Amino acid sequence: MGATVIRGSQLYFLTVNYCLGTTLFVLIQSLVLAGGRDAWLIPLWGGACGVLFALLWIWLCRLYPGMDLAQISLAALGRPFGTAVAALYFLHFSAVAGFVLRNLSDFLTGTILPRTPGPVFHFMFLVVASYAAAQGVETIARLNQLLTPLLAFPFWFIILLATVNWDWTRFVPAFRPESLAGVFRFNGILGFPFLETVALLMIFPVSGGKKGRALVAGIATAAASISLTVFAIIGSVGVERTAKLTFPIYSLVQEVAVNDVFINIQSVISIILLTLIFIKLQVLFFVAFEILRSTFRPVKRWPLLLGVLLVMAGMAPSIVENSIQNWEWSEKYTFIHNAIFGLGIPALLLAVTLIRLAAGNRPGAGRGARAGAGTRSAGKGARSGSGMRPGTGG
Amino acid sequence: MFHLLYFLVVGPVLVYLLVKRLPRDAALFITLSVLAYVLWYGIARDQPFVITRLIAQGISGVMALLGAA
Repeated sequence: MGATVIRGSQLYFLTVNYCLGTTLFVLIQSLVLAGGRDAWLIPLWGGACGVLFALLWIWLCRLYPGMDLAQISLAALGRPFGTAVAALYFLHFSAVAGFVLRNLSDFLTGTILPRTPGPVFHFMFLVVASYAAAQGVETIARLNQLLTPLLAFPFWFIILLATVNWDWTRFVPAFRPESLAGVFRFNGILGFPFLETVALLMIFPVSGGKKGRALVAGIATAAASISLTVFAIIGSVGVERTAKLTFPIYSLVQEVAVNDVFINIQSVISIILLTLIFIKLQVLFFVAFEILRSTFRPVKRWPLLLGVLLVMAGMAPSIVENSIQNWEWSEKYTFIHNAIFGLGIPALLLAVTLIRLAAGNRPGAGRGARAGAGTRSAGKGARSGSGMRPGTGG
Repeated sequence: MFHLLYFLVVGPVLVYLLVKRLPRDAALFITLSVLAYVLWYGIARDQPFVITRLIAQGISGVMALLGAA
């Protein structure tokens, strides 16, 4: 890595759509149950924390210019520990991809295609994601940039149409102490989606322009979008009904019918949500693939793509047992699990780097960390010792 | 049956990598294949490993240790 491949604006759109991904699908009901009428506040404070996490990641990346997360691990911790950390990140991103695929197949079997087995969806989406990963990050970013207006405008238009049943009294009483306590107690929002954004550190080094600003703005925009969506759902459907719906957006839009002109709008929202999920899956597949490529430098790419595909396809049916166990996981462990990878390991890498810099050592100058500056030239020739030391400036 | 099907998918790729003398690629592919095999074996038996349960047990164990300390 190292060379600029995508623009800052493309990183911004990737960040927004990555954060929205499955969030609009699976999180709305949990948000409303936790925060009641004030649930729309949860994404706002979650997004503010997400911006702080992003600042930590940007600081780490600026100490290692042009290096991705796997290369930073190798440079900071040396070959054995760095490889272990990279392998952990691979497993983490594969597990997140498993969640994404599982949510996708649960939605499709629950609404549109009830007789199709889940693994069929998993393989179909993974084959396309592996093809996109083989084409590189530039293709993924361009595709995402092209799709964003096609997703955003119909989505907000349909949400606007759905507000025909709007009732302000559904927000009353607002800002009550017990409700606000629920809002700030719901820490799952930090883990999913905001700490999952650490995956974009594999793409961050190949972005040009003001990439730090793009990452932060992307997280902030996603937080505002989730908040606005929750606000629209509460105003149109109400807290009591939303809390009982598995897919509140789908159910909300299902009821919209403007004369005989706009009917079956739920099919449009289904396509939008599926595309958003696919973008998240695409990024996760690329990131998992790049971590292995960056760490182990294989000569051939397609066997690695097949291996990652098999692992992710196996993860999806194995990730959760049922919706009750998924609920328990979201309540108790989402934040802790994602905090290990989104905060703990980056903070460890940062601490090691700062200690070494203070001691006058150059992390990565040793024999263990020869990941080099080129995942593009994977292979035996990609061992460049140059550029492994942390930079001191921005 | 599952073992045969899985070997039909993975075997030719592994043979290709070994014939081409790419030991690092082959080792990486074997590692991923074994990981995927473990996952798919559970799915084929209709008793998949529940990954989040394993992670939750690990987290609970660590938190119990920290709490005890």
